Amino acid sequence: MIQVLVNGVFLGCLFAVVAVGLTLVYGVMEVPNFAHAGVIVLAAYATWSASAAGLPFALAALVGIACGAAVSVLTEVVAYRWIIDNPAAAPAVALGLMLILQNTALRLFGGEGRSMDTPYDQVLVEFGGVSLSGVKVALVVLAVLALTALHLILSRTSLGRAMRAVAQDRGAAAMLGIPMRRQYTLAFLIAGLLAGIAAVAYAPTFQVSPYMADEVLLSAFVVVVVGGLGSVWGAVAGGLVLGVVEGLGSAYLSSAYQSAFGFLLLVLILVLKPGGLRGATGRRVA
Amino acid sequence: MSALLTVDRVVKRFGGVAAVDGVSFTLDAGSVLGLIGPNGSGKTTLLGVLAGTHEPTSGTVTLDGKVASGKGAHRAVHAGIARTFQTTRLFGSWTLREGLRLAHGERRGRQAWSDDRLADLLGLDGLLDQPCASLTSAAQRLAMIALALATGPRVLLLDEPAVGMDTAEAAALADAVRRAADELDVAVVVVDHNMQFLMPLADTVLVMAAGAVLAEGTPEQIRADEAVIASYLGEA
Ligand SMILES: Nc1ncnc2c1ncn2[C@@H]1O[C@H](COP(=O)(O)OP(=O)(O)O)[C@@H](O)[C@H]1O
Ligand SMILES: [Mg+2]
Repeated sequence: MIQVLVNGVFLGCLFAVVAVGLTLVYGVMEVPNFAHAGVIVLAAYATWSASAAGLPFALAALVGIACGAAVSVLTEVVAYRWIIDNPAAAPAVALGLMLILQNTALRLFGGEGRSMDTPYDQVLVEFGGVSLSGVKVALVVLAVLALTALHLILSRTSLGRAMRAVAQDRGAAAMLGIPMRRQYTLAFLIAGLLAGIAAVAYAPTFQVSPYMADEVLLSAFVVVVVGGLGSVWGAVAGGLVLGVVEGLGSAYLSSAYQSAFGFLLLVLILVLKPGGLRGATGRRVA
Repeated sequence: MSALLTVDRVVKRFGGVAAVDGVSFTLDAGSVLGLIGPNGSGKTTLLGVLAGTHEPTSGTVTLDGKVASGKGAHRAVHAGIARTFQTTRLFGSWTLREGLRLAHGERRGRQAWSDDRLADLLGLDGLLDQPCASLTSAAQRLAMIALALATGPRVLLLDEPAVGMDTAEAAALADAVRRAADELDVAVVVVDHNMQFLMPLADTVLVMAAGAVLAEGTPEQIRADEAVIASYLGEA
């Protein structure tokens, strides 16, 4: 039971890291950023390539995270920025970008999955009868650090306050002289860094392939909706809840339906609380 | 003394339509310009050009001799041109104080009233720490104006600020705008259809029709202008 819960928490951290990136971009720019999956894929391949080229894993991970940030910012600069006044176009543009990024990976690296070795593979961390691989422990630590850092940036810095302001009302934020473009780029930069972290965490446990992030993306969208659109803490809480629900469901009911439990949760919550767990009254990042 | 703000033959087209069609005027520090005209005559678009939101198709806006137009809204605010909107824009889940904090951060050393003074002058006492979404719609409009004032503007552009206010609220607003002009030397452009509010407040009135300036003068001159009465005041 505890083992199942711990595994659920691991999965939940992964969902949370991906979902926070999605919710931040949605909050600031109102874009359902499907291309986030493509960013994760390219970041994972960058890590894998750097690692295969002989770089130590920590350095390869940094390469991957930097690649995630760069690709994410690129999607904003070459695409999303130009449709800011036309939100109806955003879902189509997002899907198109996702296909482009995935096919870039397919073209460069082929369709078969690659597995990645890390120095933590062999390490098993045990406490109180629960064992967790070193990779998973590293991910949980990294996720907590990254989300805490993000929380501090959003709540304590003027840059973060400006970002929350944009998420609440773009017009009012512009009225106060906040440079909107910089905020958009910053949101994608942060989302890209988180996508890179997710990629680095995900790749060693599962496999690197052009389609590796599809299911995570779907689950993360569930999390974003469950947590209340645009809410960072909603995304963190939603990620953990979904991870544990999927973990429990697949352990005690059927593992073939792991993702289905998430969607069941989504439907239930939307029926009971249409605004998500936070009862969101609008977009916000907080 | 040369004018603080100079608007020189500004044209703004949307596709084929000239929403603003060759408007020129000057504005001194500490003076209040009332801008009136029928709906669709280009008042909001003109404010948008002044506030940097719209790039003018031709013509320029200069602030203190420096070109201020066409550089984007945030540069205009940083240069000291602040605006409010016809429909209220606010940070709903923040308190007014939180919003003001952000606004003060954009001041760049220019002077502005303290939060308490703003609240006092605009009749928002006791509301600084309420979430903005919970305020009445008149208070929300006043809160939006407080945010604009907190950026320490040298030029303040108000788009129909008195909409939805009762006589007392509008009078308090007029008093606060007058004080901003007198005490802080702010130059103000006010668009409004409420003549009881606007005429006593304005030093000069500019009348727009179909994107162009129909008349300009003191409130008394404008009240007596037959072209204005025919095109606009007569309707009311
Ligand atoms: N963003 C825009 N795109 C196209 N046309 C616009 C836009 N904004 C305003 N207009 C047009 O410009 C004209 C002037 O509008 P506006 O400046 O809002 O007038 P007012 O504020 O005096 O009522 C109107 O005909 C309006 O339809
Ligand atoms: Mg208007």
